[in-house]
Parts: sequence; structure tokens; C-alpha cells
Amino acid sequence: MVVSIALSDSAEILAVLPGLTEFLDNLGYQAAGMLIVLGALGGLWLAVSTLGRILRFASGLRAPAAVPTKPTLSATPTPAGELDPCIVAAISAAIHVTLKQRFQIISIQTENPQTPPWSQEGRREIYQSHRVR
Amino acid sequence: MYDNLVNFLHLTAFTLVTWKMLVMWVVVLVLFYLAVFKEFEPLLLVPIAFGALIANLPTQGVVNQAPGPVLAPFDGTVVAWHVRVGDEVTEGMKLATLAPSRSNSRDHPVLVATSHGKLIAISVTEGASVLEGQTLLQIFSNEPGGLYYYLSKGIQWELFPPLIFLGVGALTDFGPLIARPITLLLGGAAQLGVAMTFLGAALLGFNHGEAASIGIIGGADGPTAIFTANKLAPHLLSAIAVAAYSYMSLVPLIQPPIMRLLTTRKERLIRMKSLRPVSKLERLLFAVVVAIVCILLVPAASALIAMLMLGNFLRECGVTDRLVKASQNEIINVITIFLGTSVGMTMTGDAFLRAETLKIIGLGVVAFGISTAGGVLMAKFLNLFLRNDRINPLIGSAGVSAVPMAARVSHVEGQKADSGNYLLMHAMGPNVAGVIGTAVIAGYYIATLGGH
Repeated sequence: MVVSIALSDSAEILAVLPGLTEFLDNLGYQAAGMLIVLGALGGLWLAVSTLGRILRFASGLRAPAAVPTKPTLSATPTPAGELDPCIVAAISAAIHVTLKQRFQIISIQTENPQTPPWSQEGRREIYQSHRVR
Repeated sequence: MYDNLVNFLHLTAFTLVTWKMLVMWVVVLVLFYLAVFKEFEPLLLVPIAFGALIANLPTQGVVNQAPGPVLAPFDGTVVAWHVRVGDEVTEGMKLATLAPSRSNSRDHPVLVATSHGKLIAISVTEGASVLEGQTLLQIFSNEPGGLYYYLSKGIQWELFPPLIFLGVGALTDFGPLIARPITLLLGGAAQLGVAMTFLGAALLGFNHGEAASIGIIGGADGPTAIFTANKLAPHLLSAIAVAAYSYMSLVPLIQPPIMRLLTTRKERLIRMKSLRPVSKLERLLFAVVVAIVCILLVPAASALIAMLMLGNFLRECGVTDRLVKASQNEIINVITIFLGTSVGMTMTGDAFLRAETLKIIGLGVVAFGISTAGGVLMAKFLNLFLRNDRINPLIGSAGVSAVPMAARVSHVEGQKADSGNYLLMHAMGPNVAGVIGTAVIAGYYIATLGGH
């Protein structure tokens, strides 16, 4: 009894608002569209994840076991806190090529090796955006 | 000398300038200002604006059609002919008065010549019923059509958007997406704006084809918007293209307030794990898998998907350097000029100065906003299930295509919360997923709404 009353009520509402049925049709149509898009991209997610796992597993099987090697010491060890002269020479050459004028290096600041690579990439981007004056 | 001057004045086009053209010149100036001085998508807006300027000048040899058969623009009846066989026809001349069989404000009752030449045959008598596409008369001339009559075929025949996608594919690094494929879902959720705007447009009285084309603005993908509009609502092409490209340039203004509104400070501080390296084989297989899956699912979007993945395969295979460079530079640049100006050419006063244009521009911003929200909310939803490697919801907004501007916005917003948080590459995942998502939903609309 309750159900039949509800149905007749909804029928009356639909009769009063003819645009409502069209809106509900459109809503269903859009829901189906979103389902297809999410289904397609979800399917791709599963496919790409599986593919990635298989390829990484296969490359793990192919890679030869690493041979343990003795750590090698640099021929001219750099004292702690001092820069390798080769790095200073490389920085000097880079400045010379960029500025093409006399210059003096006042200080060289080294990055903390613990800095995450994303932060380093961010720093590189910011410095790259600076205009050389 | 006086007679010569008077004769020359009769040959000038000053008298052919209409008030609609003058209004459109103002619109063109606004577009030029936005493109040149505000740098809003200048690569597209400058050609579009210049094309619009040309379209609103009484030109010769630019947009005139090639002489040949003149077809009925709609189903209806020929009320009266205004020309006879043997007459010399010029552009703008009234050919016939037609009565459309159904009432539609866009069906113009007066048939006007768009080419010049000699009228050699009239195929239908007065009072006869005609069907859309039926030949009404034949115009003959040895002269060809105008430059943009031919170049605009690139849009009508759907050549330009797929060719742009070839370049986009060659420029796009899908690595971040392959490394974190769950971000594909963010690109999918960001299509919510497309779906919701469809509903809004339908409520405002647009038909389904028009509503779908307007909704695609929310995908923030210019070529896909043009591709869809050309199939489903070609008469709205200019307004849709202008809205899509304008809003793409306004992404840094539209998105941040929505992103901040939908996220907590704690969520904005989430640092995501570095992405794993992706092998060449994975990249190549990705291009092939996406092409196969998407084309099988929505064949209507085959042209876009196929060219996108062809461009990407060329890029990743590493043995076609010359082709990649051509796709990334010469092809995409040349096509961008032709596409932009061809779209601008459709911005005639009659087509653009309508209330519909304002509605489209209004709906476009709604579409962008909802798409942004969809991506952010999906990221928050996924975080309910992710424990170790949570997603910063700010990258969800990059699910609207607008590559790479939307990803930059995510990055900048992330840095406002935590200057040491670099979200750029993480945001590129949903960003390029959005390109695929928009192509899929466009294919769904084209397939189901009968755009063929």
C-alpha cells in the first residue's frame, strides 16, 4: 500500500515537471559516461601496473648478481670540508664560458648530500630561471 | 581624374562594413590585448584573433567558396528564386528564399552566394521541397576558392586536431604517469566538470550535441574541444574554441581558490615519494596499450588517440629523431597557425554575436571549476585507501588537461604550503591522464550522439 502511494506521488511529480524526466535521463547518460571514463582509465591503471611489475621482475631475473668490490680510494683524497680542485676548475670554466669577462669566485656552497633529488631539481629550476646580469 | 577617383571608390569595400563587423573588431582588440599584453595562450589566441579580424572584413579571395554545387542548408521548401540561369553571381548575392520545415533560429531563410561565377543550372523549381544537402544550383568559374576555404577544410575534415595531437604526443613525457599509474584515476575524475556542464547546458536549452561540445571545455583540451564541436555542434565552434583557450590561460586564476577550499593545510603538506625510473620498454608498451584499449573502447576518438600515441611512440623509441623534432616543432607550429586562424575565421558577427556565446563562456568557467574539484576530491578519496604513499590532493586539479599549466599550478600551490615540496613531476601524471580522459569522454559523446 505504501509503495503504491509513493509510485503515484512520483508519477504526479513527473507529470507536473516534464523537464525532470529529461534531466534524469541526462543524469543517467552522464553517469554512464563517467563510468566509462573511470573504467577505461582504471583498466589502464591495472594494465600499466601489471606490465610494470612484470618488466621489473623480468629485468631482475636478467641482471647478473652484483660482484662485491673493494671500495677504491681517490688518488688525492680531499680533506673534509674542502672542495675537490677539479670541481672548482669545472665551475670556473662554466662561469668563464657564461660571463665572458673577468670574475672572482667569492664562495662555493655545497648541497647537503641528504637533500632529496626533488628539492635539488627545484633548486636547479629556480636558478635556471634567473637572468644573468 | 575625378571620374577615375569615383570609379575607384566604388571598387573599395568601405560601404560593405556592417555594425556587426565593427563590434567584432572590438572583440578582436580584446583578444589581441589578452594574447599580446597579458600573454593568455598567445600561440593560439593571436592566430584566432587575427582570423576573426579577417572574417569580419569584406575580403576577396580569402574565405569565398570554390564555385560548384550549392546545397540546401536544411530541410524545407524553395519559396522563390532571385537569380536565373546565365546570371553572373557574386559573393553575398541573394540566391533564393527558403522556408525551413522545422522552426530553428539558426536556419536563415535567405540563401546567399558564397562563391562567384556563372549560374549554369537550377535543379529545383519554386515551391518544391528539398532535403538538407540536396543540390539546388550550380555555379561555374575558372577561379578557385579563397585561401581559407581550403585551409578550413582542416577543421571540417578533422585533420588539424589529430595532427596537433601528434605533436602533443611527441612533446609529452608519460613517465610520471607510468611510474604512478593510479594518477590515471585523477585524470578520469577531472572529467566530472564535462559531465556536470552537459547537464547545465541542457537545462539552459542547448541540445545534446551542443551540451556535449560545451561540456568538453571543462576538459581543458583545445584540440579535443574543437574536434567534438566540429562533429556535434559546428555552429558553436568559434565560441567553444575561444572559451576553451581563454580559460586554459586562466587556469592559474580559476584553480587555486577551489584547491584551497577543498583541502586542509595538513593535506597540502603531504610529501609524495620520488617516482621510480621508467624503462624504455615500459614507455613503448604504454603507448601501444593505451592506443589499443582506448580505440577499442571509443572508436569515435580513434583519430585523436592514435595520433597522440603515434607521436609518443616516435618520441620514446629513440630511433626517429628527425620525425620527433618535426612533430614537436614544424608540424605542430604550422598546424597551430592554420588551426587558430581557421577557428578565428568562423567568428563572424552573425555566428558570434549571440546570447548563446555568453552562455557558453559562463558554462565554460563552471566546467573548469567542477573539473578541478573532481580531481582534488578523487585524490582525497584515494587517500582513504592509501597508507604508505599518500597523494597530495593538490595534484588532483592537474587532471584537467591544460598541459603543463595545470601541473605548474599544483606545484606552486604545494610550495605555498611547504617551500621544500616539489609536486611538479607528480602532477604531470594526472595532467597527461587528463588528455586521455578527455579524449575518451569526447569519444563517448561522439559515438552516442551520432556525430558521424
